[in-house]
Amino acid sequence: MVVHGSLMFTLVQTVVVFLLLLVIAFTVPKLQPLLYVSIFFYTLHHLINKILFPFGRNFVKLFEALPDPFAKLLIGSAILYYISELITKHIEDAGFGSLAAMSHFAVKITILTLWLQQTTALIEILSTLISK
Amino acid sequence: MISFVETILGTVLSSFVIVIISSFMALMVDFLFPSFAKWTRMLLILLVITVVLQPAFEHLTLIRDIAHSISMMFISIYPILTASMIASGGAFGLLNFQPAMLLFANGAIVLTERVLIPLLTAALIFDLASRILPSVPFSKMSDLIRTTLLGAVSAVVATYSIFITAGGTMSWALSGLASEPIKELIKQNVPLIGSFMTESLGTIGRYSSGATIFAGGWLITSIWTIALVPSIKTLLTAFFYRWTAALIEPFAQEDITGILDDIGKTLFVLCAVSFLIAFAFIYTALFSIILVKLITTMK
Repeated sequence: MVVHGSLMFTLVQTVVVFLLLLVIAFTVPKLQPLLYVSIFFYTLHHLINKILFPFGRNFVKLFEALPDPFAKLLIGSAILYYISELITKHIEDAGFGSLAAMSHFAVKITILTLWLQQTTALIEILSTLISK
Repeated sequence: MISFVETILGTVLSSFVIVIISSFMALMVDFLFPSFAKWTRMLLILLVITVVLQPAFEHLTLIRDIAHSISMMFISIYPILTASMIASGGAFGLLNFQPAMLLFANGAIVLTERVLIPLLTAALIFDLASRILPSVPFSKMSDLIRTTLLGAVSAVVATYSIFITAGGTMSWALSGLASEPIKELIKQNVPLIGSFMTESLGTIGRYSSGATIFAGGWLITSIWTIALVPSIKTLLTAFFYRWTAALIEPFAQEDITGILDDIGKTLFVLCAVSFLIAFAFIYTALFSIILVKLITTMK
Protein backbone atom coordinates (compact mmCIF):
# COMPACT_ATOMS: atom_id res chain seq x y z
CA MET A 1 0.00 0.00 0.00
CA VAL A 2 2.95 2.26 0.75
CA VAL A 3 4.31 1.62 -2.71
CA HIS A 4 0.88 2.25 -4.16
CA GLY A 5 0.57 5.66 -2.44
CA SER A 6 4.05 6.76 -3.41
CA LEU A 7 3.39 5.59 -6.95
CA MET A 8 0.31 7.83 -7.25
CA PHE A 9 2.30 10.67 -5.74
CA THR A 10 5.11 10.18 -8.24
CA LEU A 11 2.74 10.08 -11.19
CA VAL A 12 1.08 13.32 -10.08
CA GLN A 13 4.51 14.77 -9.52
CA THR A 14 5.58 13.82 -13.02
CA VAL A 15 2.58 15.60 -14.48
CA VAL A 16 3.34 18.68 -12.36
CA VAL A 17 6.99 18.62 -13.44
CA PHE A 18 5.89 18.31 -17.04
CA LEU A 19 3.59 21.31 -16.73
CA LEU A 20 6.32 23.27 -14.94
CA LEU A 21 8.75 22.52 -17.77
CA LEU A 22 6.19 23.65 -20.32
CA VAL A 23 5.68 26.90 -18.41
CA ILE A 24 9.45 27.44 -18.19
CA ALA A 25 9.85 26.76 -21.91
CA PHE A 26 7.17 29.35 -22.57
CA THR A 27 8.32 32.09 -20.20
CA VAL A 28 12.12 31.85 -19.94
CA PRO A 29 13.31 29.83 -22.96
CA LYS A 30 16.92 30.88 -22.36
CA LEU A 31 17.04 29.37 -18.90
CA GLN A 32 15.19 26.21 -19.97
CA PRO A 33 18.22 23.80 -20.29
CA LEU A 34 19.54 24.73 -16.86
CA LEU A 35 16.19 24.44 -15.14
CA TYR A 36 15.42 21.24 -17.03
CA VAL A 37 18.61 19.61 -15.76
CA SER A 38 17.96 20.56 -12.15
CA ILE A 39 14.33 19.46 -12.25
CA PHE A 40 15.29 16.23 -14.01
CA PHE A 41 17.84 15.29 -11.40
CA TYR A 42 15.50 16.23 -8.58
CA THR A 43 12.78 14.00 -10.04
CA LEU A 44 15.24 11.18 -10.63
CA HIS A 45 16.41 11.41 -7.04
CA HIS A 46 12.85 11.24 -5.85
CA LEU A 47 12.05 8.29 -8.10
CA ILE A 48 15.07 6.36 -6.88
CA ASN A 49 14.32 7.01 -3.22
CA LYS A 50 10.60 6.39 -3.31
CA ILE A 51 10.22 3.61 -5.85
CA LEU A 52 13.45 1.99 -6.98
CA PHE A 53 15.04 1.38 -3.59
CA PRO A 54 11.94 -0.08 -1.92
CA PHE A 55 11.42 -2.26 -4.98
CA GLY A 56 15.03 -3.39 -4.90
CA ARG A 57 14.77 -4.33 -1.24
CA ASN A 58 11.53 -6.22 -1.88
CA PHE A 59 13.11 -7.96 -4.83
CA VAL A 60 16.11 -9.10 -2.81
CA LYS A 61 13.80 -10.30 -0.03
CA LEU A 62 11.64 -12.15 -2.57
CA PHE A 63 14.60 -14.08 -3.92
CA GLU A 64 16.25 -14.76 -0.59
CA ALA A 65 16.25 -18.48 -1.39
CA LEU A 66 18.90 -18.03 -4.04
CA PRO A 67 22.58 -18.25 -3.08
CA ASP A 68 23.56 -14.96 -1.57
CA PRO A 69 25.04 -12.40 -3.92
CA PHE A 70 23.16 -13.29 -7.09
CA ALA A 71 19.77 -11.61 -6.56
CA LYS A 72 21.41 -8.48 -5.13
CA LEU A 73 23.96 -8.44 -7.90
CA LEU A 74 21.41 -8.82 -10.66
CA ILE A 75 18.94 -6.20 -9.46
CA GLY A 76 21.73 -3.85 -8.38
CA SER A 77 23.55 -3.93 -11.67
CA ALA A 78 20.31 -3.72 -13.67
CA ILE A 79 19.20 -0.61 -11.73
CA LEU A 80 22.66 0.91 -12.03
CA TYR A 81 22.65 0.29 -15.77
CA TYR A 82 19.17 1.74 -16.16
CA ILE A 83 19.98 4.94 -14.24
CA SER A 84 23.21 5.36 -16.13
CA GLU A 85 21.30 4.98 -19.38
CA LEU A 86 18.80 7.64 -18.31
CA ILE A 87 21.52 10.11 -17.37
CA THR A 88 23.46 9.34 -20.54
CA LYS A 89 20.40 10.03 -22.62
CA HIS A 90 19.83 13.27 -20.77
CA ILE A 91 23.38 14.49 -21.30
CA GLU A 92 23.20 13.45 -24.94
CA ASP A 93 19.97 15.43 -25.41
CA ALA A 94 21.77 18.48 -24.05
CA GLY A 95 24.28 17.99 -26.83
CA PHE A 96 27.31 16.52 -25.01
CA GLY A 97 27.48 13.10 -26.65
CA SER A 98 31.08 12.24 -25.81
CA LEU A 99 30.66 13.09 -22.12
CA ALA A 100 27.58 10.85 -22.06
CA ALA A 101 29.51 7.97 -23.62
CA MET A 102 32.27 8.43 -21.07
CA SER A 103 29.97 8.29 -18.05
CA HIS A 104 28.19 5.24 -19.43
CA PHE A 105 31.52 3.51 -19.95
CA ALA A 106 32.56 4.23 -16.37
CA VAL A 107 29.32 2.76 -15.03
CA LYS A 108 29.74 -0.33 -17.20
CA ILE A 109 33.19 -0.89 -15.75
CA THR A 110 31.74 -0.50 -12.24
CA ILE A 111 29.11 -3.16 -13.01
CA LEU A 112 31.75 -5.56 -14.29
CA THR A 113 33.80 -4.94 -11.14
CA LEU A 114 30.78 -5.93 -9.07
CA TRP A 115 30.70 -9.26 -10.88
CA LEU A 116 34.41 -9.85 -10.61
CA GLN A 117 34.17 -12.26 -7.68
CA GLN A 118 31.57 -14.45 -9.39
CA THR A 119 33.54 -14.48 -12.62
CA THR A 120 36.66 -15.53 -10.73
CA ALA A 121 34.72 -18.39 -9.13
CA LEU A 122 33.49 -19.51 -12.56
CA ILE A 123 36.98 -19.48 -14.03
CA GLU A 124 38.32 -21.39 -11.03
CA ILE A 125 35.68 -24.11 -11.42
CA LEU A 126 36.37 -24.50 -15.11
CA SER A 127 40.13 -24.59 -14.58
CA THR A 128 39.89 -27.26 -11.87
CA LEU A 129 38.05 -29.37 -14.46
CA ILE A 130 40.84 -28.96 -16.95
CA SER A 131 43.91 -29.28 -14.74
CA LYS A 132 44.65 -32.23 -12.49
CA MET B 1 21.09 -46.84 0.38
CA ILE B 2 18.08 -44.66 1.26
CA SER B 3 20.21 -41.99 2.91
CA PHE B 4 22.48 -41.81 -0.09
CA VAL B 5 19.50 -41.31 -2.41
CA GLU B 6 18.31 -38.61 -0.04
CA THR B 7 21.66 -36.84 -0.19
CA ILE B 8 21.57 -36.76 -3.97
CA LEU B 9 17.94 -35.67 -3.89
CA GLY B 10 18.89 -32.92 -1.46
CA THR B 11 21.74 -31.44 -3.47
CA VAL B 12 20.18 -31.83 -6.87
CA LEU B 13 16.67 -30.84 -5.79
CA SER B 14 17.97 -27.65 -4.22
CA SER B 15 19.65 -26.80 -7.51
CA PHE B 16 16.31 -27.64 -9.18
CA VAL B 17 14.61 -25.00 -7.06
CA ILE B 18 17.43 -22.51 -7.60
CA VAL B 19 17.11 -22.83 -11.37
CA ILE B 20 13.36 -22.36 -11.26
CA ILE B 21 13.48 -19.32 -8.94
CA SER B 22 16.33 -17.71 -10.79
CA SER B 23 14.57 -18.04 -14.13
CA PHE B 24 11.58 -16.26 -12.58
CA MET B 25 13.94 -13.58 -11.34
CA ALA B 26 15.44 -13.19 -14.81
CA LEU B 27 11.93 -12.93 -16.29
CA MET B 28 11.10 -10.06 -13.92
CA VAL B 29 14.34 -8.22 -14.57
CA ASP B 30 13.90 -8.67 -18.32
CA PHE B 31 10.46 -7.11 -18.09
CA LEU B 32 11.72 -4.12 -16.09
CA PHE B 33 15.02 -3.48 -17.79
CA PRO B 34 14.84 -4.80 -21.35
CA SER B 35 18.07 -3.07 -22.33
CA PHE B 36 19.89 -5.18 -19.74
CA ALA B 37 18.56 -8.48 -21.13
CA LYS B 38 21.84 -9.67 -22.59
CA TRP B 39 23.58 -9.39 -19.25
CA THR B 40 20.68 -10.85 -17.30
CA ARG B 41 21.16 -13.96 -19.40
CA MET B 42 24.89 -13.89 -18.72
CA LEU B 43 24.39 -13.65 -14.97
CA LEU B 44 21.86 -16.46 -15.11
CA ILE B 45 24.37 -18.66 -16.93
CA LEU B 46 26.98 -17.70 -14.34
CA LEU B 47 24.61 -18.74 -11.56
CA VAL B 48 23.76 -22.02 -13.26
CA ILE B 49 27.40 -22.93 -13.84
CA THR B 50 28.74 -21.98 -10.42
CA VAL B 51 25.88 -23.28 -8.28
CA VAL B 52 23.67 -25.71 -10.16
CA LEU B 53 26.30 -27.64 -12.06
CA GLN B 54 28.37 -28.19 -8.93
CA PRO B 55 27.04 -31.77 -8.41
CA ALA B 56 27.87 -32.64 -12.02
CA PHE B 57 31.40 -31.33 -11.72
CA GLU B 58 31.79 -33.12 -8.41
CA HIS B 59 30.81 -36.39 -10.08
CA LEU B 60 33.26 -35.84 -12.87
CA THR B 61 36.11 -35.20 -10.45
CA LEU B 62 34.95 -38.11 -8.27
CA ILE B 63 35.06 -40.59 -11.14
CA ARG B 64 38.37 -39.15 -12.28
CA ASP B 65 39.87 -39.61 -8.82
CA ILE B 66 38.51 -43.14 -8.54
CA ALA B 67 39.95 -44.01 -11.96
CA HIS B 68 43.29 -42.58 -10.93
CA SER B 69 43.50 -44.43 -7.63
CA ILE B 70 42.33 -47.73 -9.12
CA SER B 71 44.83 -47.54 -11.94
CA MET B 72 47.57 -46.86 -9.39
CA MET B 73 46.34 -49.83 -7.35
CA PHE B 74 46.41 -52.07 -10.41
CA ILE B 75 49.91 -51.09 -11.32
CA SER B 76 51.14 -51.88 -7.83
CA ILE B 77 49.14 -55.08 -7.33
CA TYR B 78 49.60 -56.63 -10.77
CA PRO B 79 53.11 -58.10 -10.25
CA ILE B 80 52.04 -59.67 -6.95
CA LEU B 81 48.94 -61.20 -8.49
CA THR B 82 50.80 -62.70 -11.44
CA ALA B 83 53.59 -63.97 -9.22
CA SER B 84 51.15 -65.72 -6.90
CA MET B 85 49.26 -67.09 -9.90
CA ILE B 86 52.46 -68.71 -11.11
CA ALA B 87 53.20 -69.93 -7.57
CA SER B 88 49.80 -71.56 -7.20
CA GLY B 89 50.43 -73.57 -10.34
CA GLY B 90 47.62 -75.45 -11.98
CA ALA B 91 44.94 -74.52 -9.45
CA PHE B 92 43.72 -71.70 -11.66
CA GLY B 93 43.26 -73.93 -14.65
CA LEU B 94 40.17 -75.22 -12.87
CA LEU B 95 38.49 -71.85 -13.04
CA ASN B 96 39.48 -70.79 -16.51
CA PHE B 97 41.00 -67.65 -15.12
CA GLN B 98 42.77 -65.73 -17.77
CA PRO B 99 45.71 -63.56 -16.80
CA ALA B 100 45.22 -61.67 -20.04
CA MET B 101 41.88 -60.47 -18.80
CA LEU B 102 43.41 -58.93 -15.71
CA LEU B 103 45.83 -57.08 -17.93
CA PHE B 104 42.91 -56.05 -20.11
CA ALA B 105 40.96 -54.68 -17.15
CA ASN B 106 44.03 -52.74 -16.13
CA GLY B 107 44.36 -51.40 -19.66
CA ALA B 108 40.72 -50.33 -19.69
CA ILE B 109 41.24 -48.31 -16.53
CA VAL B 110 44.35 -46.64 -17.89
CA LEU B 111 42.43 -45.85 -21.08
CA THR B 112 39.62 -44.39 -18.99
CA GLU B 113 41.93 -42.27 -16.92
CA ARG B 114 44.13 -41.02 -19.73
CA VAL B 115 41.71 -40.69 -22.64
CA LEU B 116 38.01 -41.15 -21.91
CA ILE B 117 37.59 -38.84 -18.92
CA PRO B 118 39.66 -35.97 -20.37
CA LEU B 119 37.63 -36.28 -23.58
CA LEU B 120 34.42 -36.18 -21.57
CA THR B 121 35.63 -33.06 -19.76
CA ALA B 122 36.37 -31.55 -23.15
CA ALA B 123 32.81 -32.34 -24.28
CA LEU B 124 31.44 -30.67 -21.16
CA ILE B 125 33.53 -27.55 -21.71
CA PHE B 126 32.58 -27.44 -25.39
CA ASP B 127 28.93 -27.53 -24.33
CA LEU B 128 29.37 -24.71 -21.85
CA ALA B 129 31.35 -22.65 -24.33
CA SER B 130 28.79 -23.02 -27.07
CA ARG B 131 26.03 -21.96 -24.64
CA ILE B 132 27.94 -18.96 -23.31
CA LEU B 133 28.88 -17.81 -26.81
CA PRO B 134 26.05 -18.95 -29.08
CA SER B 135 27.76 -17.42 -32.10
CA VAL B 136 30.68 -19.88 -31.76
CA PRO B 137 28.88 -23.21 -31.36
CA PHE B 138 30.73 -26.42 -30.59
CA SER B 139 27.60 -28.47 -29.99
CA LYS B 140 28.22 -30.87 -32.90
CA MET B 141 31.76 -31.39 -31.64
CA SER B 142 30.63 -32.33 -28.15
CA ASP B 143 27.93 -34.63 -29.56
CA LEU B 144 30.56 -36.32 -31.67
CA ILE B 145 32.83 -36.78 -28.65
CA ARG B 146 29.98 -38.25 -26.62
CA THR B 147 28.95 -40.77 -29.26
CA THR B 148 32.59 -41.74 -29.87
CA LEU B 149 33.13 -42.30 -26.16
CA LEU B 150 30.01 -44.40 -25.91
CA GLY B 151 31.23 -46.47 -28.86
CA ALA B 152 34.64 -46.98 -27.25
CA VAL B 153 33.13 -48.02 -23.94
CA SER B 154 30.74 -50.46 -25.62
CA ALA B 155 33.61 -51.97 -27.58
CA VAL B 156 35.60 -52.52 -24.40
CA VAL B 157 32.65 -54.18 -22.69
CA ALA B 158 32.02 -56.36 -25.75
CA THR B 159 35.63 -57.51 -25.53
CA TYR B 160 35.09 -58.38 -21.89
CA SER B 161 32.15 -60.57 -22.74
CA ILE B 162 34.26 -62.31 -25.41
CA PHE B 163 36.86 -63.06 -22.76
CA ILE B 164 34.28 -64.43 -20.40
CA THR B 165 32.41 -66.60 -22.89
CA ALA B 166 35.73 -67.90 -24.20
CA GLY B 167 36.49 -68.87 -20.60
CA GLY B 168 33.44 -71.12 -20.82
CA THR B 169 32.26 -72.42 -17.48
CA MET B 170 30.59 -69.29 -16.10
CA SER B 171 26.95 -68.58 -16.66
CA TRP B 172 24.67 -66.15 -14.97
CA ALA B 173 21.78 -67.62 -13.05
CA LEU B 174 19.73 -64.43 -13.47
CA SER B 175 20.22 -64.21 -17.21
CA GLY B 176 17.31 -66.56 -17.77
CA LEU B 177 13.71 -65.67 -18.41
CA ALA B 178 13.21 -63.97 -15.03
CA SER B 179 15.39 -60.95 -15.73
CA GLU B 180 14.27 -60.34 -19.33
CA PRO B 181 11.46 -57.86 -18.50
CA ILE B 182 13.74 -55.86 -16.18
CA LYS B 183 16.39 -55.71 -18.87
CA GLU B 184 13.83 -54.56 -21.39
CA LEU B 185 12.59 -51.90 -18.97
CA ILE B 186 16.08 -50.49 -18.44
CA LYS B 187 16.81 -50.64 -22.15
CA GLN B 188 13.69 -48.66 -22.98
CA ASN B 189 13.84 -46.06 -20.25
CA VAL B 190 17.44 -45.04 -19.71
CA PRO B 191 18.33 -42.72 -22.59
CA LEU B 192 21.56 -43.23 -24.52
CA ILE B 193 23.11 -45.94 -22.39
CA GLY B 194 20.16 -48.20 -21.50
CA SER B 195 21.04 -51.19 -23.66
CA PHE B 196 24.68 -50.73 -22.81
CA MET B 197 23.85 -50.92 -19.10
CA THR B 198 21.92 -54.17 -19.38
CA GLU B 199 24.67 -55.73 -21.48
CA SER B 200 27.50 -54.78 -19.14
CA LEU B 201 25.54 -55.73 -16.03
CA GLY B 202 24.83 -59.09 -17.66
CA THR B 203 28.52 -59.53 -18.37
CA ILE B 204 29.57 -58.73 -14.82
CA GLY B 205 26.80 -60.94 -13.54
CA ARG B 206 27.89 -63.88 -15.65
CA TYR B 207 31.36 -63.50 -14.31
CA SER B 208 30.54 -63.11 -10.64
CA SER B 209 28.06 -65.98 -10.52
CA GLY B 210 30.93 -68.24 -11.43
CA ALA B 211 32.87 -66.88 -8.50
CA THR B 212 30.00 -67.11 -6.01
CA ILE B 213 30.91 -70.71 -5.32
CA PHE B 214 34.24 -69.60 -3.99
CA ALA B 215 33.57 -66.25 -2.40
CA GLY B 216 30.07 -66.51 -0.97
CA GLY B 217 27.00 -64.48 -1.85
CA TRP B 218 27.33 -61.70 0.71
CA LEU B 219 30.87 -60.86 -0.22
CA ILE B 220 29.93 -60.70 -3.89
CA THR B 221 26.96 -58.48 -3.06
CA SER B 222 29.09 -56.08 -1.05
CA ILE B 223 31.72 -55.88 -3.79
CA TRP B 224 28.99 -55.16 -6.31
CA THR B 225 27.53 -52.44 -4.14
CA ILE B 226 30.87 -50.74 -3.54
CA ALA B 227 31.75 -50.89 -7.20
CA LEU B 228 28.42 -49.66 -8.49
CA VAL B 229 27.60 -46.88 -6.01
CA PRO B 230 29.43 -44.14 -7.98
CA SER B 231 27.79 -45.29 -11.22
CA ILE B 232 24.30 -45.31 -9.73
CA LYS B 233 24.85 -41.90 -8.14
CA THR B 234 25.96 -40.50 -11.47
CA LEU B 235 22.97 -42.04 -13.21
CA LEU B 236 20.51 -40.56 -10.71
CA THR B 237 22.10 -37.12 -10.98
CA ALA B 238 21.93 -37.28 -14.77
CA PHE B 239 18.22 -38.09 -14.56
CA PHE B 240 17.63 -35.16 -12.21
CA TYR B 241 19.30 -32.75 -14.62
CA ARG B 242 17.17 -33.90 -17.50
CA TRP B 243 14.02 -33.69 -15.40
CA THR B 244 14.92 -30.16 -14.33
CA ALA B 245 15.45 -29.21 -17.95
CA ALA B 246 12.04 -30.62 -18.87
CA LEU B 247 10.37 -28.89 -15.94
CA ILE B 248 11.69 -25.38 -16.56
CA GLU B 249 11.39 -25.45 -20.33
CA PRO B 250 8.14 -23.42 -20.55
CA PHE B 251 9.44 -20.31 -18.86
CA ALA B 252 13.24 -20.43 -18.87
CA GLN B 253 15.49 -19.32 -21.65
CA GLU B 254 16.55 -21.91 -24.14
CA ASP B 255 20.19 -21.59 -23.07
CA ILE B 256 19.53 -22.71 -19.53
CA THR B 257 17.43 -25.74 -20.46
CA GLY B 258 20.01 -26.57 -23.14
CA ILE B 259 22.87 -26.47 -20.64
CA LEU B 260 21.02 -28.73 -18.21
CA ASP B 261 20.06 -31.16 -20.96
CA ASP B 262 23.62 -31.36 -22.29
CA ILE B 263 25.02 -31.87 -18.81
CA GLY B 264 22.51 -34.69 -18.32
CA LYS B 265 23.71 -36.37 -21.53
CA THR B 266 27.35 -35.98 -20.52
CA LEU B 267 26.60 -37.51 -17.15
CA PHE B 268 24.96 -40.52 -18.83
CA VAL B 269 28.16 -41.10 -20.76
CA LEU B 270 30.13 -40.60 -17.54
CA CYS B 271 27.97 -43.31 -15.99
CA ALA B 272 28.87 -45.63 -18.88
CA VAL B 273 32.55 -44.87 -18.36
CA SER B 274 32.25 -45.53 -14.66
CA PHE B 275 30.88 -48.98 -15.47
CA LEU B 276 34.26 -49.81 -16.97
CA ILE B 277 35.91 -48.88 -13.70
CA ALA B 278 33.33 -50.82 -11.71
CA PHE B 279 33.89 -53.87 -13.87
CA ALA B 280 37.65 -53.78 -13.44
CA PHE B 281 37.24 -53.27 -9.71
CA ILE B 282 34.86 -56.21 -9.37
CA TYR B 283 37.12 -58.39 -11.44
CA THR B 284 40.23 -57.59 -9.46
CA ALA B 285 38.49 -57.90 -6.11
CA LEU B 286 37.05 -61.32 -6.97
CA PHE B 287 40.33 -62.42 -8.40
CA SER B 288 42.21 -61.49 -5.24
CA ILE B 289 39.60 -63.12 -3.02
CA ILE B 290 39.73 -66.37 -4.93
CA LEU B 291 43.49 -66.28 -4.99
CA VAL B 292 43.68 -65.86 -1.23
CA LYS B 293 41.11 -68.60 -0.76
CA LEU B 294 43.01 -71.01 -2.99
CA ILE B 295 46.28 -70.33 -1.24
CA THR B 296 44.77 -70.78 2.22
CA THR B 297 42.95 -73.99 1.32
CA MET B 298 46.01 -75.50 -0.33
CA LYS B 299 48.05 -75.21 2.84
